[in-house]
Amino acid sequence: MIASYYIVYALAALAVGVLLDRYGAHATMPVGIAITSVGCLIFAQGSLAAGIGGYVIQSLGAICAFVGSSYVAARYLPARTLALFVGLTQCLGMAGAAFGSKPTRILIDPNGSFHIPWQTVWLGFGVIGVCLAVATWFVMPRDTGDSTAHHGHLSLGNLLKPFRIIFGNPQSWIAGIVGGLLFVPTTIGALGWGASMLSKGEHTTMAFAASDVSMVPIGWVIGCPLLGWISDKIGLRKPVLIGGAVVLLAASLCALYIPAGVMPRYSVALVMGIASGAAMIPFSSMKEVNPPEVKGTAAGVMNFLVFGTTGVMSPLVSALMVGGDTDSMALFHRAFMPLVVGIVIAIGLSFCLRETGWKAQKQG
Amino acid sequence: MSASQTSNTAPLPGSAPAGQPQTIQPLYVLAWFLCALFYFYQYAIRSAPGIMQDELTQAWGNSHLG
Repeated sequence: MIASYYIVYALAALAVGVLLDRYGAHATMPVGIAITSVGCLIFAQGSLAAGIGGYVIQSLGAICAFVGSSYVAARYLPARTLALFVGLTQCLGMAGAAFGSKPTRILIDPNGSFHIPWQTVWLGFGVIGVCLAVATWFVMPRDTGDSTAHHGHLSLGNLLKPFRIIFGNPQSWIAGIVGGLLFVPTTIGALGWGASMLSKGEHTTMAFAASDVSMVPIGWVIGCPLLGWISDKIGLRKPVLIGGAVVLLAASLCALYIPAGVMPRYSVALVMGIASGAAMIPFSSMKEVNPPEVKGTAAGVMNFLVFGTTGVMSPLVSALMVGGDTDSMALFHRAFMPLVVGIVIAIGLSFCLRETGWKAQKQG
Repeated sequence: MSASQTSNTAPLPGSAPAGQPQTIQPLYVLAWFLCALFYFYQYAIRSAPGIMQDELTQAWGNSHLG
């Protein structure tokens, strides 16, 4: 079920990338935001069918969010700040995932001072979305994308051409797989299974486990812009990518093999999150190893490969969790082994990635 | 980067920019920020069904969004 969601999401990200390249962000982004808002308004109708339908429509619109943000950063902001802005985009997303639900909880809390019906909350979400769509429509540069010059008339061959360029480039595959392998230790490992590992394997209390794991997204919020900024500052991608991946490997091994309580509280989870910021560096490399006229499609392909990696690794870890003694760390050591091996492979592959920071461009 | 891709003139909404600028331009940063805000917003609304699960179960019976 979750795996199929990842597949649909990954395929839709490819479509959004092509739309951005052909028609530009001014035509695409306000529509994506408007679709998401309409999903909220449908959800607000209150019935179960409206809830399911609204949720699906929201998800469809939401696919534009990350691919569109990285397209706008790559298209309209200086090349020297790309990694910083891609990192800041992910930072805002993680902040939304970690803290975005708090105000909603306060508003609908039956014992709270607001006590607003949940349908009204969705109505509010819809109105906020419509405002955001209108603001984006006004602010976004009126640019039709690179379509006429580079993409030719609308035909199946021309629609597939950007994919042939990107998938025909081995560097794209390296960037996508490295990004995916550096994502899963935190998404599947720490956020998916971390709390149960700490409470069952390490025998900590559930409250301790939950608050320790919640340090990981905070680490992301710090690490994504920080590592991007360092990479832009020094003009190199690979040292930051490899350095971050090595720290991620060390932190993951600490989390698995050093008993809870030895290291200072929160430190391992926080360092793991910060080092995971390295996973955002290949998003910039992906754009830079491919021609500029396919940057939207490249962002979509990057999402596709990262979600594809998650879609493969997630059931693998779940399968390894079955049939073992859930009260021992040995089970978690076994089930997390693919994630650890994945980081090692990512470090190896990173050495094969072409250096695309501005310092290398200048010399080349 | 070729010379034809550089543009240092201030952007106007409604004008088609020639290429990727070399300096930070506030209007373009705002355009990016609105998209990033959308990314924040979609995460916030996607986590909303989870935190109103009690209310949704009450309204819909035992079925809820997985």
